[in-house]
Amino acid sequence: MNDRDLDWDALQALWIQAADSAGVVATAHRQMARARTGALIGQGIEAVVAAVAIAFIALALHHAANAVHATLGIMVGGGIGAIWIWRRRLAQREQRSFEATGADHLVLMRGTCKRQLRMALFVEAVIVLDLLFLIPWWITGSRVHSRRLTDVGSLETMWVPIIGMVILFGWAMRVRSRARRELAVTASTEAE
Amino acid sequence: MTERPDQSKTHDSMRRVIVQHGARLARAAWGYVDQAHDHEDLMQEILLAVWRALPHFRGAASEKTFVLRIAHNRGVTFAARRRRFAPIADAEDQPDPAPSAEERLIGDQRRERLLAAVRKLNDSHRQAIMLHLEGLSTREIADVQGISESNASVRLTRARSALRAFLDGVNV
Repeated sequence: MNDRDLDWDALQALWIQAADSAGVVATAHRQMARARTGALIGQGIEAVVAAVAIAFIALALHHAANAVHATLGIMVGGGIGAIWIWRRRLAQREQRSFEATGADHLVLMRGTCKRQLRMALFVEAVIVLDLLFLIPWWITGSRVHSRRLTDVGSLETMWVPIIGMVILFGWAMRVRSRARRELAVTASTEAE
Repeated sequence: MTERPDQSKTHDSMRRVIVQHGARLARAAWGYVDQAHDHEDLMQEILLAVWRALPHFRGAASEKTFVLRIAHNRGVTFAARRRRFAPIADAEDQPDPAPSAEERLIGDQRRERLLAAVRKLNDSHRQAIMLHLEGLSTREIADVQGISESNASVRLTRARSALRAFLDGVNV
């Protein structure tokens, strides 16, 4: 056995010391439970947010000024539902990519990132449509109900949706930024 | 409330994976992160991905290569989203150890330098080296990475040279 083999054996021994079975088993069940709980809560929150947003749009549709306005509202409601479904499908696709071999994983990862970029663009389009739908409703509502910006009614019907749209826009930017980073990593790994 | 048979089977499979491959998964995670809190997050994501994948496992590959493939793919994505590694510390930066702890400290330092050198490798070399350090054969490495056995052999040779170059620079 030459020195290079001894070096490799020493490296392997050092590597094995990085984690021992007893320690990992003790913590892995807790980590697993936490991960599953976190995933369920995340999915639950997304479903509730989508449902509340669609319900809000449905409520606003009752006061649609005309057929065009109503169509816009239906498009926004449908868009919110589509975002939720799209997000679920991308999560499933991402999971499939983890199970794929290294080369296939990169292909699937690249495809997922491109879809995430398109989804981020779609989210922004839905936000714009949402504003086009809600702004006339807010203006008319404030006149009919003589509301000011600081009234409770304005808080419920205007500020909460605005905050929701800001959060959604921030989320879309984060999705875009992560997808671009992952695309860059995928490209450099494929080039290796 | 009783579990459905498929859920119960997944639970049993997951328990077995944790016992038999948990340490491997934890070491794989250390190849992609250098902070304990990131390691905790990545381990949770790896375990969740394995849990979700187990119902699809048909035995085409060994369970070892199946879970390691998931761990490395998850690690690549995680590192891409959070890529930040601390620079390798100089020996002079380490605190003066008590004589009785000196050997342990030197061992910890050498392990940290090995991990840091592994993280400096590009993704394909890093995976090949980590799998090789886990004792996987060239064929198993090829299976995880989705390449031919001859390509895996070439990749591993290059990876070992690159790792040695990084290590020779900092004296393990």
